Amino acid sequence: MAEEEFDPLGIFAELNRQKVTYLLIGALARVIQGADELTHGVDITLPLGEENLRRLELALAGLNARPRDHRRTGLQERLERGDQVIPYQTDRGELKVVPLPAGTQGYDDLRRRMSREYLGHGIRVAIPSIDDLSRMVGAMGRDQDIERLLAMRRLAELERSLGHGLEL
Amino acid sequence: METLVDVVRACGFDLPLVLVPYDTGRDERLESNLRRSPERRLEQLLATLSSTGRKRG
Repeated sequence: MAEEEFDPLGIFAELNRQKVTYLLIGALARVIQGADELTHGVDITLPLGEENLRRLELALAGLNARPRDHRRTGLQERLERGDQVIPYQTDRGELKVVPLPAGTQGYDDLRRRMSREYLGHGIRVAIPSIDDLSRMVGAMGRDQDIERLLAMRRLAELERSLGHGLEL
Repeated sequence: METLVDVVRACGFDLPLVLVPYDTGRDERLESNLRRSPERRLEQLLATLSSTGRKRG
């Protein structure tokens, strides 16, 4: 596969193969919840326990992940010093590790309302609720996120109003 | 509204009000997305990226 091809299912497959516990967040999670956005990257947050990080490192190796910021510091060290985003380029596309997503208390905060969605090819991925994804967008506080936030709020309203009429 | 802003400011925050154009097509697109399965939403994204040449990161 070409080095920069975006193959999110390939990324999820490797994370799942290594049994990494994680939640998909960011733009791709919003798209899978129904948002009308374009993205070509995978953002995840995860529990930061030793075993889960070991599994993540195996998955990163399997994906031939290289730090996009070219820093040579290891994952564990970057987490310990409080890096907010750890970006990688993998053979399947961009993958960002976000230890503490904006506006949240981290993985445990988001997992309470998550859902596990089937994305094809035998792959299921855990995704935060629309409300939690909105909370993250709102907490970013960037001008360019206003439209995304409005869309997410409207999406939540529509989801509630459409209710059981959805063909899921 | 002024009272709300006063309360927010009393708490040490501000509440910027920004006008944005009302997008009448948005509801249609979002409803259409909601009627698709998550699998189809992902397929749709990848098809769009592919057709616009943005699949490469």
